[in-house]
Amino acid sequence: MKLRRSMLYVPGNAPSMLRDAHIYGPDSLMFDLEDAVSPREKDAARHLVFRALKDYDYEGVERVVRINGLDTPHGLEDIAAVVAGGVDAVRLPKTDGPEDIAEVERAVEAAEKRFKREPGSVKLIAAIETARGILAVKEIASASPRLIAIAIGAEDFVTDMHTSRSADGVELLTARSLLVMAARAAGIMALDTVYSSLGDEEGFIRELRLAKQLGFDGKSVIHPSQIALTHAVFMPSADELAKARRIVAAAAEAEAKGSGVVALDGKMIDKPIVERALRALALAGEASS
Amino acid sequence: MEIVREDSAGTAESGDARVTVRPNPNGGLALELRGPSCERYGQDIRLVALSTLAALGVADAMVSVEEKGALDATIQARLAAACGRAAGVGSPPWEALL
Repeated sequence: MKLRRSMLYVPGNAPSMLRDAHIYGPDSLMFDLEDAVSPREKDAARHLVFRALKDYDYEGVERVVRINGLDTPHGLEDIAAVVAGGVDAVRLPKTDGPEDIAEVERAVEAAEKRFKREPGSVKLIAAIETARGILAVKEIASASPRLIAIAIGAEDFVTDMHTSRSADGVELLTARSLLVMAARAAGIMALDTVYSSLGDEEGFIRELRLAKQLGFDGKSVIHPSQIALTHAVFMPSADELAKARRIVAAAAEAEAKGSGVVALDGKMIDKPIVERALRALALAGEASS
Repeated sequence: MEIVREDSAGTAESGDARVTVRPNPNGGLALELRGPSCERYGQDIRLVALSTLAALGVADAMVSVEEKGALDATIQARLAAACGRAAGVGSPPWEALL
């Protein structure tokens, strides 16, 4: 199964970082043409990202590009450049409704045709950063078969909500929960927001655990030092894996006996528990039977 | 792509290149290279720059490349950006750069 535990931000106008970002082992790279690049440098960053996509070997690491919105003078040219370069997925900022996805999808379709890429091969990820976007998240999540994930962008969201970020993240709880629920209902992934306090490892781990507990599949990260911690939290622990293997083995044994009842250590194991165990094994790359 | 004014792209940071493009009153291409890699890789950088200018359709320009250990892809990107700015062209011919 494709993992997206970590998606590492890489500024689009930093040649050295564009070249080497994959060596830190993120599940996905996200080259940023939006907030990380000043308006004066949008064209130059677009050329760098185009060449990076086309010329560099990222050894199988997924390459996502965060484009500028189509309501800016840069969005359409961003799409042309990254589709030409061979991007795996386009990330839309500030998605407020399904119409935003439809607009980007039309531009991506046209670019696929123009650059002779396989129709439908470029995937989409939508970042939701406003109250309006969260209230439309169900429609957004199912707006396109190209959509592989939805992500929450917290800084803009809390600003829109007239609040600010706190240590326990209470201001984001409803938005995060709705976003994960919409992702699950649509059968796509949910990605959590960045954690900007690089020096606060304890706070970062606390936020990772909260995101995992809510059901997120991964988190956007802004520094290579955050990758290992993110993977550690989003992967099942050794104890969880050991238990999952026993549950799956018990379920297989029950099935072989023709029994509908799975028992382990004297306790009944319900079907959802077997499903969770299978998912834990799949996350760890283990065969499910 | 016709170069109509002087403009540049890139930085002097390590791993980058600063490329400046200006109209050439004498016609044709005049290419000046400077930087730590030029002694060893100057010919390669020259070929990369000339092929990028050909792809962009730039036939008349004075081009200065100050590289700081930039890879070919970075030099190509900086050159394409500088040419686009100096020609006033916002939508590059991506097909030609593939």
